[in-house]
Formats: sequence, C-alpha cells, structure tokens
Amino acid sequence: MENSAIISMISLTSFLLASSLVALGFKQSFRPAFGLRLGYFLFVIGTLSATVDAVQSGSTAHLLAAAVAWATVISWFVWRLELVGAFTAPVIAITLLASIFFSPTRARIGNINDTSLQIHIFSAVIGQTFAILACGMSLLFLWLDKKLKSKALNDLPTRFPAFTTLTKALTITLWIGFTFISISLLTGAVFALNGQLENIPTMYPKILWAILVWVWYLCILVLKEIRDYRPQKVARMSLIGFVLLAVSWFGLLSAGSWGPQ
Amino acid sequence: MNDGRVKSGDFFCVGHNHRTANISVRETLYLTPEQVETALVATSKKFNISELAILSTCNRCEVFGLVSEKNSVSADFLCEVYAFIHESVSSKSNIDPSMLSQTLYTATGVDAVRHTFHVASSLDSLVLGETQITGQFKDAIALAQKVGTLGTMLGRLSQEALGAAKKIRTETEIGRHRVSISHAAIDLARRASPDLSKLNFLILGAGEMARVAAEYAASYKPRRLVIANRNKAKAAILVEQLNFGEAQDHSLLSSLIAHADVVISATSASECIVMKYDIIMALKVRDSSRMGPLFLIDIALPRDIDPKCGELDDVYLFDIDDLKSVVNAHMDKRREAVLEAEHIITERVSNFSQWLGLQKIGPTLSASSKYFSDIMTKESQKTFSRDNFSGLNHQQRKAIDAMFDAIASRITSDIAKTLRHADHQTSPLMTAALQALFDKDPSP
Repeated sequence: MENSAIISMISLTSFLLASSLVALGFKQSFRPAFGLRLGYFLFVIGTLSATVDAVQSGSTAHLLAAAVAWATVISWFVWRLELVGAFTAPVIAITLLASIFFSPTRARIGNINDTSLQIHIFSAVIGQTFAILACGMSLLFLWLDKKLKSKALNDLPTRFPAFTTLTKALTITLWIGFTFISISLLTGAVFALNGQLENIPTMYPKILWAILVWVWYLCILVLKEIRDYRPQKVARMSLIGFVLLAVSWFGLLSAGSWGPQ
Repeated sequence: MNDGRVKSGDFFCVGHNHRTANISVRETLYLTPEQVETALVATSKKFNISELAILSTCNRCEVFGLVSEKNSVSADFLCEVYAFIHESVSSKSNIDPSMLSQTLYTATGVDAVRHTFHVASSLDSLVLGETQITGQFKDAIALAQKVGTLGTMLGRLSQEALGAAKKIRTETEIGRHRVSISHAAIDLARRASPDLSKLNFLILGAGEMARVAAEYAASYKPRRLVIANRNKAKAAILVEQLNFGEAQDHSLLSSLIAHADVVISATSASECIVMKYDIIMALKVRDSSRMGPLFLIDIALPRDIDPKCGELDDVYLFDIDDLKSVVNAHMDKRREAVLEAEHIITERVSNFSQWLGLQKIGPTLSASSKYFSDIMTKESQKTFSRDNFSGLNHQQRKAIDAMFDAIASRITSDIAKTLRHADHQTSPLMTAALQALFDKDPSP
C-alpha cells in the first residue's frame, strides 16, 4: 500500500471513530469522559493526516475535509465549541468516503494552471467550510433552544456553549463563509469570461445553483443585520443553506473537469 | 502539651450532629470560639488528654482528640469529657445529662480517624458536599494550635483529613453542582452567557430568596444589577447591604425587563405581576437594541410570571419546579460521587493508619533492638573471656562483634517488616506483645 493511501485510511478511520466519540459530549458530565477525550484526540489525528493527504493529493475533496477539520479545531480554541465536532466529523468522513467514489484525479488543484480558477476553487472550499461550520453551530443553537423551551435542563451538558457564544460564532462564521463564496463566484466568472465562454452553456446548472446559494446566504445576512432577525431564524436558514450547498458540493468535486485533464 | 513528642495512644471523637440532635439541642450545645478556647485548656488539663480540638458549628459540636494509653477510652469516659467541656464554659453548666446521652455518639481508633475524614470532606454534612465545613474544620484546628492542644498526631490527622477533602473536591463531582434554588437560578443564566459579568440582572422582590440570588449575582459583578420591589425602600436596603446594584420600584417593570438579560422573580405577590403583554412590549425594545435572549426565572410561590410568557420567541421561562428538578439532579450527582469519595477516604485512612502504626511501634522497635544488642554484647564478652578464645586478636574479635550486631539488627528489621505488613487486627496484638517483652516503660 502506498504512503498516501495509508494516510488517507488513517484520516478516514480517525474521523469515522471521532464521529461517534465526540457525540459523547452531549452526555451530561462535568469532566469529559475517556471516550470523549479519545474522540477529540482522534479528531486532531484525523485533521493532521487529512492536511498531509490534501497537500500530497491536491484533491479538492481532501482540501475541503482538511479545511473543515482545521476550522473545527480553531472553533474549539476560540469559542470552546468542542461539540461542533460531533457534526463536522461525520461530514468530513462522508467527504473523504465520497472522494473515493468520485475519482480524485479529476479534481486536483495542482493540475490547474489558471490562477483565477485556482482562487475560485480555493475560495469555494473555504466558503463551503464555513458554511458547514455554520450549519454545525446552528444545530447546536437549535438544540439548546429546544431543550430550554421544553425545560429539559437536566439534558443539557454542563459545558454546552451558551446562547451568546453560539450567536457570535454563527454570525462571524456566516460572514467569513459569505465573503469566500462571493470571491469564488467572482473568480469563477472571471475564469469563465477568460476563454471558457464555449463551456458556459454546459455549466448552467452549476452556475445557477452557485448563485442561488450565494443569494440565500446574502438573504440570511441582510435579514439578520438589517431586519434584526432572531438567531433562531438565522440558524434555521443556515441549515437550509447547508442543504443547498451540499448539492453544489458535488459540482465542486468535478471542478477538475474545468481544467486540463 | 505541644512538646513535639509523639504520643502513644488512641484517637477518639465524641459529639452530636444534625442527625442525632434537633435544632434546640444543637442551639444549647453550640460553643462560640471563645468558649472553645476556654474549654480546650480546661479539658486537656483535667483529663490529661494529650491532644484536643473542638469543632462547633450550627450543625455539630464534636471533640477530636488523642488520649494517652493510661486513660481508658470508653464511651462513658468520652461522654464525661464532653459534658465537662460544656460545664467548663459557665453559661452551659446546667445541661441535662439525659440530653447528652441521647444525642452523643462516640468513636475511637480507626473509626474516629475515618469519622474525622468524613467530617472534613463534608460527607457527614447536612448538605452533602458543602464547602463551609472544611473551613470550619480548619478554624477548629487553628484554634487548638493557638491554645497549644494540637500535637504531632492530631496535627497530622487534620492535615490528612484536609488533604483528603481537597482531593475529593477536585477529583469527584461532590461539590460541583449547586443545590440551592437561588444559586441554581443564577447558574441557569450561564446558558445565556458563560460570562455573567456581561449580563444585566433584574431581581424582583427583596425577601430572603431574592437576597440570596442578588448576593450570588453581585459576586460576579454583572454589567447591571437592578433590584425592583413594590416598596423601593426595601430594595434600597438590599442594595446598600450588597454595596452593588441599583434599587427601583415595580412601576417601571416593563422598561426594566426590556433592558435585562435575566429576570429573577421572588416576590410575595399573590398573583402574576409580569404578564405576556409586558414581555411583548419589552421584546420590541430589545429587538431594536439587538439584545440576546431573555431568561425569566420565577422562584416565587405563587408564581410571579405568567406561564404564557414562555411561548414567546427568544424568551425562556423557568419556574421553581424546573429549578427543583435541577437541584435534585445535582443532589443525585453528589450522592453518586460519595462512593468515589469513600474510596479516597479508605485509601487515606489506610495510609494514615500505617503511619500511625509506625509511630507507635517506633519506641518498641528501639527497645527490642537495644535488648538484642545488649544480649549479644553480654554473650560475646562472656565467650571471649573463655581460654579457648584467648588467642583471638583485636581484628578477629571486632569481626565477631560486627556479626552479632548484624544478627541483632536483622532480627529487629524482620520484626519491623512483619509489623508493617500486619493487618489491622493482628498489628495491635503483635505490638502489645512486643511492648510486653521489650518495652518496660512504653510511655514517653
């Protein structure tokens, strides 16, 4: 077995195991149980191996997996949002699994010579990363809201993030995600107008879908910042945004088809 | 008393607590620190008790001590000591002896040691896991040290007990969770923000529950603490006592709620004073000023806040039953932690008993070592004086003497090893046998 294959396997196995172990954080306990700590450890191992894998393979799927993993780890340190890993770990695992079925050789940033396309793919990956993170935060927010509304206080873990933390983290994440998605759209347009005009008709569904996703996130931010939408509504809209994004993600996997084969 | 010498003897404890005595008995038997000071000196002199400490709190009055072996440590003796402690303090001279006999419990030896560990770790407290008792235990030991009734053994026992208490507090969940309604109410606010100093608190009422909640909230120095009461003067008194916050009256309620993140209501009103309409009005102001969620915590009975308020978006309403369920769950967690705490205590008691055993057998081992050494010297001198050994030179004689010394110290070391590894039942028997054989005067 090749080294890169071994690293891929380590990464995939770590995230698969971390998916179930990090979810132990929802259990009410003051001290993190051994399983939970093991889950965090595996998540970090998975993050490191996914990074090595992404650098070696240059695959967009692996790059997305590594970016989501790093964004999750950063959110642990910045906002103490360890539980968001319970959502991102399975997403990363699914991304890595899906990359096995979608030929990774078709989507290598390293094979692309066009700068605007490279920026487009890179910013799309970062944008999607933050949209995934926002979805995880939204789920946490809605779960907390549900538990407090139903007065199930004893179901809430002691270290569950508070409303203000989740609201702040969600807002920042949405803004970063939206900024990168915007850059991705702009650079995509530059690339398309720069000698790829003949391919545009074949890319219509993908372009339309990308614009739809961008408009949706724009709506979320406008309604939040101008119409003072409550965080509950913002969280629900972020979930829908993630679903829209998940559809366009399959388009991202085939991004390599735009570049030289 | 506190001469630094290790006393041979036995630990004891005698006293009453919230389980054995009702509040009127506890009130009668309560000793102030000044009375404890007087009693310690008088009692240790009268009964020749080498080391003594008295722990007197609202829930218990216990005497911990160490008696020399010449005193008999019987339950009657301990009751006599306890009665004298109270008699020595003039105001307690007319205590009914039957009251004492009904409420007192006694323990000696390892049981007394274990009980001391339990008391210091608050496993014996009315509210399991409360922290106050550890501080009170420390104060009792400090007082004994001040008057000179704290010796090496009791000092070591208190150190070990406090060490165990610290370990239990850090390693188990016994003291993690709040078990009072007012405290649980403030802790609930952490769901809004982890940093309570960034929140605006509004406390409705100025009674006992409101006071406890206000005190606890004020300890976090929140951004704003408003105490609103129908009678503003009462709220102002509370604010003055806290030296924090501001007093308001109920007429501004809707506006006060609009600027609060957490509202804790604890008035004695007979009907709801906060209606859904008030909250709707408050939410309009809040939305425009981009405030976070509103936590309404109603700890009054009858309730102060209309239950329909909880139906509104971004408003979270909790009543006393919700908090009780939290407090009960916290108590369950503390009870679950008792098993873990007991494990720590067993380990610490075993270590302490081992140390105690070594202190007790120290003089006996020295006596036995001297005994063997004397025999060896005597016998070697007798042997060397015979004609058959007259040819031995000085070096040869020295070598044979060294061999005898080695035999003596090997026997003593084997005895010490056997004693160290003996169990709790056989160890005292073996020590007593050795004392009878080698230690002609075991008292120091």
